[in-house]
Amino acid sequence: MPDEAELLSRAAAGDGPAAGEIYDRLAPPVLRFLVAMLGDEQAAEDVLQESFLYLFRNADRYDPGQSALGTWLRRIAFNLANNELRRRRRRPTVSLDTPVPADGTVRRLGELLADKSAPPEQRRGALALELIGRLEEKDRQILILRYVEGLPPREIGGLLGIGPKTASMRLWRALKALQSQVRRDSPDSL
Amino acid sequence: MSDCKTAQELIARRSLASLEALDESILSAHLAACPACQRRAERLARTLRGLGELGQTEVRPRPEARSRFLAAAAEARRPTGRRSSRALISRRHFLGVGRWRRPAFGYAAQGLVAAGLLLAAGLGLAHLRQKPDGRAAVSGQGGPNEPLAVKPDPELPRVEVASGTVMLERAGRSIKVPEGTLLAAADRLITDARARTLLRYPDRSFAEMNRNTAVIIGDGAGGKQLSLERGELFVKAAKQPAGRPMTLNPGRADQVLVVGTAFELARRDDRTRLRMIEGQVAFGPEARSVVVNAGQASSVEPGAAPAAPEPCEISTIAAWRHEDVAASTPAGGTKPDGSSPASPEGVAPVVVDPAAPTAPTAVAPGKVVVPGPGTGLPTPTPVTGDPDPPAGPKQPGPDPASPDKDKKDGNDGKDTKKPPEDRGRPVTKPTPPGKIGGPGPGGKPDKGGK
Repeated sequence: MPDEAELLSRAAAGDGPAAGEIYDRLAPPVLRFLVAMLGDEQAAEDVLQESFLYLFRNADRYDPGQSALGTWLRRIAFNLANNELRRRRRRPTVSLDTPVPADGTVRRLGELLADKSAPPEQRRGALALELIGRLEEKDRQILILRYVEGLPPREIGGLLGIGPKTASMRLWRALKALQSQVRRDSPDSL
Repeated sequence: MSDCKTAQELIARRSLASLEALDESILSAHLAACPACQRRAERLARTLRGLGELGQTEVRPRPEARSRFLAAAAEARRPTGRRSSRALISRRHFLGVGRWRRPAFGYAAQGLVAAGLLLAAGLGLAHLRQKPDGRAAVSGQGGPNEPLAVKPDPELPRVEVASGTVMLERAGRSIKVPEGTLLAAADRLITDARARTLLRYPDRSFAEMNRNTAVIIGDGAGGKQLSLERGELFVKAAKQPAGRPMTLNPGRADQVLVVGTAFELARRDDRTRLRMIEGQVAFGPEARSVVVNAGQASSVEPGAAPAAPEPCEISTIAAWRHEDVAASTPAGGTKPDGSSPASPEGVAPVVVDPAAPTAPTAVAPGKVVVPGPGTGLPTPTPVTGDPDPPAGPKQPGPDPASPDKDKKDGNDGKDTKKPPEDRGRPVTKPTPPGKIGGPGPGGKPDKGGK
């Protein structure tokens, strides 16, 4: 199996199958991230596409010794998603139509909450997404980076352009905000 | 320790994995004695677990998204130019500042034409050199951070602003068109109910497409050509070269020839209506065309001659340009008298291009030109534009060091025993994709982390 750097190089040079393969390998986790970030499946797919195109255009700058390709792609996607949010000039709103990543696909929040037979982890994920959707955008975003993406503060800081300690502090504040939100809104059935 | 507030603090810290052994024992003792805090702790834990479980799943792109991506990737490998770094028209202006008010589009078909001033502003576009095969030749190094010198085909427009999902159909494929894309003959552009776009020609003429609008780009053989399939167009044309008028709907009954003017054209089904702000155009096929002057309106249906021009209210023309494209989905259309709802501010449609980098120069309204025979739509030619930077106004390439250096982190929350003071400020600038850290939020590495 060709490694990522080779695939990227071929894709950037115009190899369609290589572009397809790299997309198939890297797209799913980044799309999950974008769906959570943007709360809009179509916009997430658009940003995903733009992220890949950006990656291909700048393929010559990729150094496999520095990071995994997926990590770089997520960084690009994060920045593009933020640009998209600024462009919309509004934060994602949570509604029953909000897409929720669920086992390889996307389900609607309302549908998941109504579906008593849905796997508990999916319902928990949907409720959690709904809860953090009520927070301020910066809090929501950092909680996604930390708990959905599992990034340590250092990487979060790298994405946000701040130091790891500042990232930890913001994470702390976000967590406190979530704690308050949970205290007010979270049903016991969560 | 029986203080619930302290317990909540410790619960939060435990969530950050920063609770030391002593704190843990204190917290455990409190939770055992305080059911309220215990419930809160469980709720928070469930929420964080739910977020973590989201992170365990992946989302496979829909097949159509994959196809679209592959088409776009193939498209992007064509020679490209870079979008101008100058904002020729602000997105804010383009998006409008008012709310969309559902227009009463009573006509089965509408055609609106407004004529106005045109601008002789200097070119703000990059230059694109046209190859014989229609492709752009990029001059200069073409590094990802360098503005490219490109000279555009004077008769083909570029997608200057695309708000929402604007689809481009070319050679049987359909992709979401990025801003900056240079269009080619026979391209079909479609805006959906939540999208608008502005097509800009090198001479600063432009055509602005309302929502739910479709146009086809002509080959430019006899001058600029656009065919409106449905929806509304607002067109502002600079003075066109002698013998090369801009032609809307070439060869059709609702053909419009423009030498230098501005107008809006709307089409529903087979009926087209036209209203003018300033200037003068010939409306209709040759031999049956009528001259429509500023402040006049006319309409045409298949097989009929254009109606005699009649007065119309200029201030209501093309009011949709001032509406917020992201607002509620419009039904599209105008009142039975052909007027559009006025913008909430009561501002007349733009007569002077607000995007002009310098004071606009008024050019005498165009004169009537005898329509020539319609030209069919040519075969597709390759794209010549740069469907480039996807994000904000500035698009430096990724920092050479941008691939993440932080592969490992041994500091996972450990530095948060006590919440440090926030010295950071919110990020406000668009972030170049791939750039480490993005624009500095002004926050320095915290010094108060202890």
